[in-house]
Amino acid sequence: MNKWLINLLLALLFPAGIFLLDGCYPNDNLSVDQTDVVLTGYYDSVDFQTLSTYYMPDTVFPIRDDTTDKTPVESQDLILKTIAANMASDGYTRVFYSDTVTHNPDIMIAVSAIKTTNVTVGWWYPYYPGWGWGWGWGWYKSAPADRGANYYYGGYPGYYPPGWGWGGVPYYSSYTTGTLLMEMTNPNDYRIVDNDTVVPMYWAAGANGVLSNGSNTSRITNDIDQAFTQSPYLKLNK
Amino acid sequence: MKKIKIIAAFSLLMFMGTTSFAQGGGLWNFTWDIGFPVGSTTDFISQPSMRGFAVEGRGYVTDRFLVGGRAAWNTFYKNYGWVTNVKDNYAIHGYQRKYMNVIPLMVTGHYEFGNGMVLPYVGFGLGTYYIENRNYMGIYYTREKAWHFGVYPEAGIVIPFGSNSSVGANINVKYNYAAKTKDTNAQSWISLGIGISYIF
Repeated sequence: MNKWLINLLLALLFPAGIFLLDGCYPNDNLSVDQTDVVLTGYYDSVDFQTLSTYYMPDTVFPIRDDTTDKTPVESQDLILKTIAANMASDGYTRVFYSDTVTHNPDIMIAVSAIKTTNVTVGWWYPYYPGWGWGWGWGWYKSAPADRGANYYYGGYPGYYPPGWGWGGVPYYSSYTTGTLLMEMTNPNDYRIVDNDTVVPMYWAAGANGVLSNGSNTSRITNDIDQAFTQSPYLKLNK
Repeated sequence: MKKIKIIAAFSLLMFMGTTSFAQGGGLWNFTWDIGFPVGSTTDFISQPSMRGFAVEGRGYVTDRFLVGGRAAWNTFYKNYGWVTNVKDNYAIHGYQRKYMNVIPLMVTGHYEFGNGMVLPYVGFGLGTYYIENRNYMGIYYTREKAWHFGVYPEAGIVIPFGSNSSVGANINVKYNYAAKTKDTNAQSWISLGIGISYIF
């Protein structure tokens, strides 16, 4: 074989190798509902069978930077209704505010919601002219100041303009996640630790996912249902 | 990841540059590597990998003995779908995928048998494996990465395409072993390489 042909093949191996090396996270495109994660935990010293009544406020508390914003959380009524349905299914009786005067509930459930927008701005260096469009997986370390350096976000594809030449181009990418928190406590079960009143968390659940521009209602109910499904210890044996 | 690409690309260049100066000729191997996890690697990913590529250059130091270098990339991947993992008092539910990316950078030694139409060989590689494991739940992941000391024994065969051809088919089997590090487990897998050899 001609030496120049061999050298050409070897030279082509270099970009081919780079190209192949890029394919290290296959099938990594997710739909928005596939981004949902539900995490639950419980205090193993609690005997849930001794509990039967609970109080839940009629508000989902929004955790926002702008504390003056009193706008109700989106789908608040659906969230509270779904939680109540799951608690009823597990054998718990809801005590409403007016009843708390005469009957102290055994536990309280507080529900809150956080919306976070993650923005990444960077500089992308194309390896060769013309390969400018969408390598697609956009994995980058996004470390907002309030999260610290060890928090990794897998990213959605960013917008990569064509790379004309070797100079590099800026890119911008953002996505918004929503987190629903459900926290179960017993206000009567408290202890004093270092002069602070501490109330142990009996059960906590968090559901997180990337928010879509469309409806998220089915995902809300599915995630709340899942939180109770993976918490079988909550179910009362009546 | 950019750092990994630079290291791997530089290694490719390095091997190309050095092995091409080998006295008495040698060969280049370009192979598609199929990986089959074994041992404790199957605890993380058990699915075989069809994503692998290797470049190797060897030079004859005697009529039968060759030394050289090898750089490669293998990607192991498994999609577990929706799972619920329980540990102690906690449970997590999500869409889980696992990835293991491996970059072997090795020096090699081989001994050839046979003459003419079929060139079987045995050999070994000694060097380092860069291994990065990622365990994804939704968009979140945990990652382990480390440089492992590694070795592999190998057996293979080169079949020239003709009596005067300098190009041939290459099939080889390796047992890859990446030793444990302070923070990560040992990894092992069997790779089947199918590709082309250029004998010069």
